[in-house]
Amino acid sequence: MIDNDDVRGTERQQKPKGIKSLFGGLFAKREVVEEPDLPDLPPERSTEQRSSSAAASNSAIMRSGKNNLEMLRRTLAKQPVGNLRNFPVLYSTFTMGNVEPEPSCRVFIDQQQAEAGEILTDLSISAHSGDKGAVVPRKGSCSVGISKDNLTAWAFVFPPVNGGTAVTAGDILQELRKKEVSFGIDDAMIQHIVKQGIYLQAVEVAHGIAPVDGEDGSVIDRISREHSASASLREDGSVDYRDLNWIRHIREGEVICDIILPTEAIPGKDVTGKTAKGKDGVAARIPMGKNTTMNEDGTALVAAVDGHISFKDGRFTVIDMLVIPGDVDNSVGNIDMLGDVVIKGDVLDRFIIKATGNVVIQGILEGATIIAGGNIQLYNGMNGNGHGMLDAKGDITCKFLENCTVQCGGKLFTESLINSTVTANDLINVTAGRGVIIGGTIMACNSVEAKIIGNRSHRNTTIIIGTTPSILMERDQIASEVERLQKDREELEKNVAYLERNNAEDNVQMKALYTQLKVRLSVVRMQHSVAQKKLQKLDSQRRDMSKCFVKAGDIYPITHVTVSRESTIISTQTKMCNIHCDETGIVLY
Amino acid sequence: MSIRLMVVDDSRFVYNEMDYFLEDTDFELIRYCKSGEEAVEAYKELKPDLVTMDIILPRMDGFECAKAILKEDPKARIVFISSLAYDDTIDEAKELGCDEFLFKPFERDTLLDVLTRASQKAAGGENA
Repeated sequence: MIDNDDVRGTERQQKPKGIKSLFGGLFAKREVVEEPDLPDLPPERSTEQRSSSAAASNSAIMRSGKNNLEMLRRTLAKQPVGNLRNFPVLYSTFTMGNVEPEPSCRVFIDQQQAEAGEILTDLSISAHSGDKGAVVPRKGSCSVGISKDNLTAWAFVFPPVNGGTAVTAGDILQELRKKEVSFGIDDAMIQHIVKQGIYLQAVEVAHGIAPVDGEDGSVIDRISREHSASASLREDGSVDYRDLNWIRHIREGEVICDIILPTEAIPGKDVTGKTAKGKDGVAARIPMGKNTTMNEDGTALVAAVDGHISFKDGRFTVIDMLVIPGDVDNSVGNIDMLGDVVIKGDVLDRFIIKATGNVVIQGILEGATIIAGGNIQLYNGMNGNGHGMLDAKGDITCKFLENCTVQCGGKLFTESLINSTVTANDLINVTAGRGVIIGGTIMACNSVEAKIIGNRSHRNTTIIIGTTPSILMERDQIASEVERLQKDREELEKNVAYLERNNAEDNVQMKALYTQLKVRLSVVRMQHSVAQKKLQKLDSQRRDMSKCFVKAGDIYPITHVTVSRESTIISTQTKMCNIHCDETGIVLY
Repeated sequence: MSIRLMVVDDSRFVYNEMDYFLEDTDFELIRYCKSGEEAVEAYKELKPDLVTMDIILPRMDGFECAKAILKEDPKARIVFISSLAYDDTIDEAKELGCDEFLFKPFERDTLLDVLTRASQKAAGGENA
């Protein structure tokens, strides 16, 4: 008996090329390897294929029903007597579906070579001599091999020769026990091997339960890793080279990519009864860069801040402050940024910069449009060429503003304000540097201060403080709306009350009208309430006019000053002038 | 022979206006500069007969620019054109030797008068 302990871990031997099958495919002669017309063995299959092939071959064994020993003897009787010791033992078409066995099975089969060759020789002699003392009786025997992964055990049964006793199921089970095989034993197959005399074949007699490997994690991008700037098309079909769309917005908490977590392996059980461990899945590499973070359950990479997202060096990065090292021109295009923007160079005419945060421009600003959710700071100033615009929800600080339109949600600080239309929700302070306001319309809710307002050339300058004309106009419109809705409401209430008094429910037509009026009344009541709240809010926002003022060292004519609804014109040069409004109207002192 | 004029102003409005007003006159607009630094370099290169100078400019203001040009060429003729129509700014200009000052906004005739006077002073060799 061949000791097949070393089956485990043994490397697969070189498989013979072009093997011609003898004896019904059970054996092959090594000498015929070189024959050109012989078919090659089929290529090795995957584990799944092998297991399905093994199952198919076992079922083929079960179906065959032929006694292999008799078949062998008949086949050998037709061949000339010879020494068959060098005949290699092969897996059978029954056993392996005519495919190369897995490496450890192949090693096991090859280990049976010596004994099989000896038995074949004896069988051949016996077949030709008719069992008449040519060879001594040889008892059948069995060898068991176990696959490297311990999930399969094979039995290789040698036939009895010259009247020897055949292997029993107990013999096979004993061999299995010697090899510590205790799980998944295929008793039916063992019985079949014994009854049908399935000899000189590796037959699966025990099957473990294979573990299932875990699946590796993966990353599914929601945002493309590739992005390039491209000019956009205008409605008329022309190309807008200022609008290059190279900034990709992302909001805090927005998912950048979904992370599929790895799964754990499901353990199996090998033929020795031990747990067969599988491989756990490996976690995917997460492309996490600056200002990105994982969500709570680790299933998504999300933006940690609002900003511009880009992919570089294998990572997604979100920046909340965009720094343009040079000018904003056709090479950069318009900017639309979630976050702050710093421009180190100039911003050329007609370009647009939008930012949800602050905007800082260190160079020269021409007739561009700057819209900031926070503050705007210009190291120099802006000559807007009549179309430049600044719009900041917060404060604006700059050296000068000329020929431009400015909307400031907070305070405006500058050294000169020339020929511009400026609105500030808080104050306008032009007291630094030259401190001049010349021409234009300057509106502030609280105060306007300057060293000089107007100039010697009698430029018309308009200063409005308190409530701006647009707010006053809006307030008047809402007040009219409240009045109209009040009248509608009273009229409807009167009609509904009338119908209720006259039992409208009893008359079909009256009932329909009553229902219609009730619906209309509830709508009008709601609209009236909303308009009233809006009016109250606007009135509460109106400044205490006694605190609003205009202050200047010199005011040149012609300067128009409006405080809320009161106006005056300064027609002579006035020094150290303070203007405010009391119950008598505008006061200059 | 035309008088070569360089305009220094950060407002393209002013340049366009001057370009329009000076059409078919003896003045040839040879260069527009939107900053003081640019003007100093351009003056060295072009040596124009006359320069109009705004006062409120980004970074280097009009007075600083005029000083730099006059340092390079003490005979340079500079006319200030600004909204800063105040005695102190006019005095500051005069101290630099620039006695022609035009207030913004200006009209064609006023512009031509001021430029003609300044160019005549230049031709007469009068230095400020």
